[in-house]
Amino acid sequence: MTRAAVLALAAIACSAQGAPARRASVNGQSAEAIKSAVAKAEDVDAGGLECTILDGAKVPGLTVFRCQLVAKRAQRGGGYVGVMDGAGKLVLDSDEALNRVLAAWGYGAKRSVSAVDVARVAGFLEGEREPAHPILTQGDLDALDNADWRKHAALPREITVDGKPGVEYWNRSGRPPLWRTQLVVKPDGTADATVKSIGQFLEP
Amino acid sequence: MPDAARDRKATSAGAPASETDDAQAGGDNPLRARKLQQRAAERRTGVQPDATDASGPAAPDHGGGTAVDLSSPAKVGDFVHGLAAQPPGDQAAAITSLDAGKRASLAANLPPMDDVVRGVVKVVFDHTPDGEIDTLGKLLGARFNLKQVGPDTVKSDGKGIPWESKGLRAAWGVLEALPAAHVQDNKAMWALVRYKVSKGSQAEGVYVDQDDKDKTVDQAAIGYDPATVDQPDKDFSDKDDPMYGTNAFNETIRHEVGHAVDAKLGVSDSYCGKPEGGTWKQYDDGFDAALADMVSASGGAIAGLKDEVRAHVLAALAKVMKSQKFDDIKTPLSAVPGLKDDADQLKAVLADPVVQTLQKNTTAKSPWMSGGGVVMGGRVFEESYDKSWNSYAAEARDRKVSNYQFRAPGEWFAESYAAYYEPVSDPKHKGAKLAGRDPKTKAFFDASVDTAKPDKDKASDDEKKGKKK
Repeated sequence: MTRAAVLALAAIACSAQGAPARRASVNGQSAEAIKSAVAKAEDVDAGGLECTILDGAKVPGLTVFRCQLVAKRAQRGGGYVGVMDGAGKLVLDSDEALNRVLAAWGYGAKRSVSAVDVARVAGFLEGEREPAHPILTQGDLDALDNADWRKHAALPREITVDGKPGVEYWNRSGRPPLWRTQLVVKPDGTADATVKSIGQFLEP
Repeated sequence: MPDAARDRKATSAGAPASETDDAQAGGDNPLRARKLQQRAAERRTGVQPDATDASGPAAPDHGGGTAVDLSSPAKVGDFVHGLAAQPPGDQAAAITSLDAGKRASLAANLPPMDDVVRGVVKVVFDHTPDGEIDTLGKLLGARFNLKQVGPDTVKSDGKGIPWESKGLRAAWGVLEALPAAHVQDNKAMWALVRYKVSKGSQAEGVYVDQDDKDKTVDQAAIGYDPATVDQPDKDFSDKDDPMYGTNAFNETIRHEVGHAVDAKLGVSDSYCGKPEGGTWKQYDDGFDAALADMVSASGGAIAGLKDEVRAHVLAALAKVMKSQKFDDIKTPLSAVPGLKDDADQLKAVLADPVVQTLQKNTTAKSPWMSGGGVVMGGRVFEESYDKSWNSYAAEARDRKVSNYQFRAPGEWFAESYAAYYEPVSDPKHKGAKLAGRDPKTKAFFDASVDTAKPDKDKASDDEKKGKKK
């Protein structure tokens, strides 16, 4: 099994009696529980991990997170993104994690959540090598210092591609600096992402 | 010169008389002519063409075929050296006449690299079909003394996937143009691996010295979509920067090799601390030290606070840096003794460039991409990576080759490296891209980077791979 596989790690997230751990958390999972689970799944030292839960993800039954290997903090890389459900099942493949999120939302033609909600989670899950920061608000757009970039970047919006529903949003990180993602949801509920970096929008 | 013309010239000028004679002696008899050609080929390469080839269509044989035995390094060595004596056209034909299994065996059993072997390996690489990815990877690995050319196995880089031919062929061209001491003779460069990125992604990369379990890997990991391999980069530079519009994939390969060269030479820890190197200072997660320098550089309201109040303010700001709660600095500062009951003083502290730096010069806002962000006392302080801070002299940006160069000292060197080795039409002008913007650093590269000594003991260090540093 690869990282695409779902890793059953209920033992990590549960107490000695088998009950799910309940601490200050989102959807029942705390950053500490996630840290322990990721450390076990990836066979790394939990003390060398820092985990962050995505605030405002609003995904029923799933906690969206990113963990960083502290030893690799001063460089690109060293990150894990994924989701964990209330039973402690962990998904550490970003594509599969997004598919789980879309399934939890029942996202499709129904468009069960807003484009901003989709962008918040999907953009966050793009932050494997380093954290990604999707543009969700006018304030985020205004914070783009580069005037040429501001001409092209936009807030998340719903799109339809070849009859399939999707969401288009802009995202930022250290490298690449700014890009547009078009997320298209296929009939089976899984997503296809196509990205285009800001440079490809600029005039020659 | 077209290949055919070059081949003709090589044959007439360099082939032993007996071969030429054999090949020409068939006269008007095609069957006899072909047999004589085969004999000549056998003499050249020491192998017999496959029997089925001999009785098949009247395509000329060039010494390859499926009958050749390439099952051991000694036999491959004989084959390679036999091939090396032949004109390029014959070399190419010999490689293409092998089947995929034979090419794989050849790639797996190559003799130690010398100029002769390197030349033949390039021919083999160029004439190995695109679909034979493992063979292409092995050939590249052998040529450049890389232990692994394949999917990235470091999980925290993302999902590793196999290379494909377009990327591998482009990578070969880039690596071949770099000094041997930087690639095949660099102990900090052991693997060239690939990880998955989304469709449409421009090339990006990660240099990794240790994997997730602290084992030494020293690898350049590249993520790219083959459809963008020819794409010019306009993401990381301003239009008037030397690196604007250069090939993004090639630049990425060079950039990551640059990190490996930095690991070998330690430039970002030495040269980058000097004025000509940007006067970089590294704090990593030393928030207190970074704040002390910020306050000193700012000379703003925080510097003028009473010692006790300033200590509380700095402690609050250090917490902000640790938690990365940069969007709401006012709340923790409002609770600081000495500020919570003094609105004017609080307002003055919030207006201090130190606070503005924490609000704007963070990794989430990538200030290096747009002018550098807040400048205090001639220096830029920035969160280069999550919770990892650096500072540099703002005037150094006047000599930038790209915006990304000013993310961190390691990136400064890697971008300088990519600029220095950006191909130029006249090889005598190596380093022109860097020289045009930063002649002092170009001179430094001439003297200290381009002339780096090879790690002669790289091969013997092979056995150390996988051990903890």
